[in-house]
Amino acid sequence: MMESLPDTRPRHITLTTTLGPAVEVGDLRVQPVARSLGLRCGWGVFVHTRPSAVLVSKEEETSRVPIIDVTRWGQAAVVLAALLSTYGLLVRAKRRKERSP
Amino acid sequence: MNEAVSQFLQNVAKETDSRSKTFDRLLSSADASKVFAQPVTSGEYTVITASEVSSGGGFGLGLGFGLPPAPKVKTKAAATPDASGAPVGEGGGGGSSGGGGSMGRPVAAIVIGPDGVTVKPVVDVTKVGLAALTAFAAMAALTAKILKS
Repeated sequence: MMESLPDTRPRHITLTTTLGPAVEVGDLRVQPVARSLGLRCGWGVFVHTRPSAVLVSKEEETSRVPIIDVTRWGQAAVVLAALLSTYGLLVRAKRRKERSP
Repeated sequence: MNEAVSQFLQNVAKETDSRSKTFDRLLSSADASKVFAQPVTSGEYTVITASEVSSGGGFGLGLGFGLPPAPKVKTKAAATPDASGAPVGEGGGGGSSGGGGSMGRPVAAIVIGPDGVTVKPVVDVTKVGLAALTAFAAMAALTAKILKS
């Protein structure tokens, strides 16, 4: 009675860097760069795409201007500060316990 | 009954294949055009907004077939085969469902002006504030627990 389905589900992680359409303003040529992370597991998929940088070309000279996600860094800094503070408190409480008779 | 099961499994395989292709399209659609907006020009300045975009989805299905438990006393319905010879009372069922979502958040604005190209970050103070509140509330709870012990 039992039949099994062929497991055709691909499982993979993809990391790609893509270039957006270039914008030309005067002698400047600006090309955006995006990075994307794709996760595929079983019957589910997750894609996260974020801006990475802009390539600025002027007279055959190209420079890379990074795009920094200040909000994400802010969140990370807050969580890190909380973790460090908690660790400090734990160490302090442990020392106090050891000193007390 | 076996034919019905095979037909059902074929339909499931077809549906799985179709949704798999949809996921492939979703993965391949992650490119820079989804992240950078069309440039807007005002006077000497051109602005391109950059956002991060996340999307995800999934689906699941289940099916089952079976016979009713064997009766202790032979009843007419359980004992009598139908016209095709198959036992009466077989049953089965299945179902599938799926879901998904996506979100976007502005990250920066690229300003192209007479002074060159500058990247102005977009700071979501609410997000940082909520993260701070959550982290420090957890820290306060832990501290209170340590002081009590």
